[in-house]
Amino acid sequence: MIRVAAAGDLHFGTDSAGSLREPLADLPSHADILLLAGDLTRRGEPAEARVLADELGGLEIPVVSVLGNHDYESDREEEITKILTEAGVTVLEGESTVVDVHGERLGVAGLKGFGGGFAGACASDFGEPEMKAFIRHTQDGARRLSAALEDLEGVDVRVALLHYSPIRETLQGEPLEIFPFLGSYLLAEAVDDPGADLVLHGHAHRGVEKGVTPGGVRVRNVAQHVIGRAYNIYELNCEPDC
Amino acid sequence: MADAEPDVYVMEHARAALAKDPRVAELELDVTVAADTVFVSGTVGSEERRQAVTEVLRELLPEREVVNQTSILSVGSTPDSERIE
Repeated sequence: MIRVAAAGDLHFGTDSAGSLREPLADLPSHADILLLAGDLTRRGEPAEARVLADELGGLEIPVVSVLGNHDYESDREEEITKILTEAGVTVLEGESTVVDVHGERLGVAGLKGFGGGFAGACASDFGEPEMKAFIRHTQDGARRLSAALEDLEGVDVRVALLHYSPIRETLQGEPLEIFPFLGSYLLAEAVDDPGADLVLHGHAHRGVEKGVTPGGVRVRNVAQHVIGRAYNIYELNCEPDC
Repeated sequence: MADAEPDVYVMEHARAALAKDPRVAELELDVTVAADTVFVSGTVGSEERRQAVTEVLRELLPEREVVNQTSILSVGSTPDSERIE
């Protein structure tokens, strides 16, 4: 069994030092890996990322993350990625990584994702250049997510790590009018085709934790506002023998 | 031209300021306007940010009373565990 700790929407500021110290102290006894579902910072400032990097530095288990929309606010996402990478965090954007957990192989495909909406009420690749750019960003990400999951063929457990939601179910509680800005069905389609054991996302603070893609993959919204904890643990079986 | 800005515009300008001002940077705060009062609710990450909500709105809308009903996000240290079958 592989134990995955997950959280999203930490929204670290320069005033956040120490806020994860206590929960992280026990983490290695609860989990084999920590996955972070984006919005690591408040405004995407390198100084905010440094505070989080200090908090995560020295953690005895691997940390894998994607960025969220807040991490792009200051147009310094590359610096954010560099700071976290130097602290030992694997930051994914349309890529995958494989982590050895007690001899079993856990694959994580990561992508920020984007909006567009859900089946029956979604944006189309049509009209003004700005509208096309919006939906094409999501389409491009979905293609890269699908390819990243395909690259993980043969691992024991596959997890898709996102910031935006792949399904509307975990958005329940958010205003219906903003669903197109909270996720896209294209992300679910990108997961369902190659398949995965679990999808994690954040972004929807007023949503709910649990849902499932149309293809039957479990989805968990791990925004801290939703789970009410520093992180939750998901135990994944890697059949037949771990 | 109307004498007073419609409340719906005031509400959205307030939401935009709370999202964009570096002291707050919160996109999911609820703002409502009633008469001369602006109500704001939702969760923020710290007491400093909660106080900043009031500051930002008072600077933007000095003629209105600000009622800050935000709370500070509290997360527990003990995780929930779930087995994914």
